[in-house]
Amino acid sequence: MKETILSVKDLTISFQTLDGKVCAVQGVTFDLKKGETLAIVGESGSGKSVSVKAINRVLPQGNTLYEKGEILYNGCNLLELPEKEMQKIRGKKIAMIFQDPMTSLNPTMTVGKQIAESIVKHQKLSETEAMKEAVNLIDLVGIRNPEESSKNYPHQFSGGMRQRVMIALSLACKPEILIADEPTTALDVTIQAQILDLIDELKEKLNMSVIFITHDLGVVAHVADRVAVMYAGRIIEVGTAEEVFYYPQHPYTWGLICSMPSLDTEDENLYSIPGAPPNLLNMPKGDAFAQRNAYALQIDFEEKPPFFKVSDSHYAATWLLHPDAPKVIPPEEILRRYKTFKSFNKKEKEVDVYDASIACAGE
Amino acid sequence: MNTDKLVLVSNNSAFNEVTAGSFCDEHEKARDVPEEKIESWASITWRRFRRNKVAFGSLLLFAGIILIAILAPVIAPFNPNQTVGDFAAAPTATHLLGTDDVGRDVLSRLIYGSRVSLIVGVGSVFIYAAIGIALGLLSGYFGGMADSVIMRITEVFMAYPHFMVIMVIVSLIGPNMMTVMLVMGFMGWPPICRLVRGEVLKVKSMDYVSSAIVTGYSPYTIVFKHILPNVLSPILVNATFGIASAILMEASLSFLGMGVQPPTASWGNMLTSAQSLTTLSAEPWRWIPPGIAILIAVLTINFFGDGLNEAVGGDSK
Repeated sequence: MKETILSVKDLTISFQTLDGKVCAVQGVTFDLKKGETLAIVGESGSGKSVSVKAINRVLPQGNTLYEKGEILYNGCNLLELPEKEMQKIRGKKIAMIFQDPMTSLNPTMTVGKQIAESIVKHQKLSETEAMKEAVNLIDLVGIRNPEESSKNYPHQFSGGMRQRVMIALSLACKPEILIADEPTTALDVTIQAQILDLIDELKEKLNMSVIFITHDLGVVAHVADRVAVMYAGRIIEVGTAEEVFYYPQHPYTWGLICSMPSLDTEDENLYSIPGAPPNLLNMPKGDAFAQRNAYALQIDFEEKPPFFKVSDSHYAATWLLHPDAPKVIPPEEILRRYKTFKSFNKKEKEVDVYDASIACAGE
Repeated sequence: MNTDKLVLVSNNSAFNEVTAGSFCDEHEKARDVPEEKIESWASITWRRFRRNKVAFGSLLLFAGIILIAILAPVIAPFNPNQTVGDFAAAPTATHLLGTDDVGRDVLSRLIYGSRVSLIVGVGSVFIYAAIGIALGLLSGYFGGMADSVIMRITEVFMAYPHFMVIMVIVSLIGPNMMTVMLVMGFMGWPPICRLVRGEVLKVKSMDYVSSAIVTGYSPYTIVFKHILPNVLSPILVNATFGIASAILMEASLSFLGMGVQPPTASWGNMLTSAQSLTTLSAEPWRWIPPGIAILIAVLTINFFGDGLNEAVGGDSK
């Protein structure tokens, strides 16, 4: 078992707005192990960005309320750390990459200088040494002519190149944790693959842990060791990438997977989950997904489902996993995946032991 | 038609490079390395600015005025504060622009007057830009209590006619060049403070500021290294226009006798003579030159400001 490097417990965050209190994150709990990539998936507004921004405490001050929970890093709760101490952790221990590479570099500074600045700040090197190190980093992220490129301004780079520079900047101090907030959303697909490979490669090289935020399941499949699916401020299913992709339990995860285009999809129309996410201003009682859920049970409208264990690494918050729940047949695509999953785990019997709905799947 | 050329260029080197090299090899370094010349923000702005003929000409003209001000003792034909000729004499070969009512050389006074206008114009803008930038950064970046207090103060400052207050203060502490400059400096900061605050709020929401925060920089570093350079262009443009209005304001105050006091020459107090109807109608050499001087100074600065605005505006490219 790998050691846990970061552990988020029952994190609850709300924003004070003119319309009232918006509960953006409601009791999110997850662990990050050393050297693994954890992907957090969810649609816009599901609270995935907010949860990870809380780790680095970069949410807007003033209207953000950390209501409950803790974020433990090396045994200390980051939410209670004074700002001065936090500045020593940001960048040095926990680095972050943002979504839009076009705006995440300072336009008035050369890229080499921006990287060197961070090195000077955290590693106490001299300017010239830091500049050398910056050139090395630019080389490391695969930019040609690192020496000359370091003297360029951000506007002289394309989007993909800027994202590479951002990665170099975030790696400047060899952080233990890299948080990537939709790092490829603004890039086109070929560049996207390059950036994902780059992050993966550097993760191995520097033995980092990565938290990867995205709404793109294709990206998740590419990089993640473990996946957490978020919906309306809560994690609703968490497991290894294999488990979430091939043995999903929550109807929302089913919906997400079914709405993924695949090469052999023959239907003209792609599946989409009906309805829209609930208004975070006044959350419905019970399961937030119940209104949109074709498999909703009566209890979903009354009580929030707890986490049910599927396997040691796989949990899902849906009443369907309750031993007394009626058996439902998941969509065809999911059944197909169950079969694939079964073939992955031929030797392991535990699949059948935990699963109730697989019986139907066989029919 | 030359059919010889209708053959496959099998040894096209560029084509070969693509197929054999980067196209197949994942680990090939990204190819779009910028090859243009490396330019700083200042040199880009300068290159763009120079394309605007009117603005560039204005800059040269304004530089000329500055030169005249600096070299005043060398180029002025007479001592500006001494009686050197007949009273209110029309232009002659010795006194190119005539003399005023006590026999001082108008041209010499005009040349020395440029010093007053420039010092007051540039000096007061420096003072108020410094105050406005500091308070604007404070209020925009930190927000909260500081922001509320600073914004209420600017509202108070902007809620009454400036000119009156400056006149009252100047007459209370005694009118001279220094007081005019200081009072204008301490009264003029609210608009620039608001401008800076607005720009800071805009820049603060950019990802590069967030990424500076997550890199662990202190608020001091973030404000001065990552925010200030990015809000500098509008401040620069605003300050340029500020110099023009400060020159006008000084001229108005001096005209009303609340600014620079005679015998020291200023464009404004040279115009004072035009208050008398005889001067206005019969001695045009006494008021037309300072009027034109003010006009040229203000116009060149405004054209320069427009050009600068254009050059720094838009994309940084």
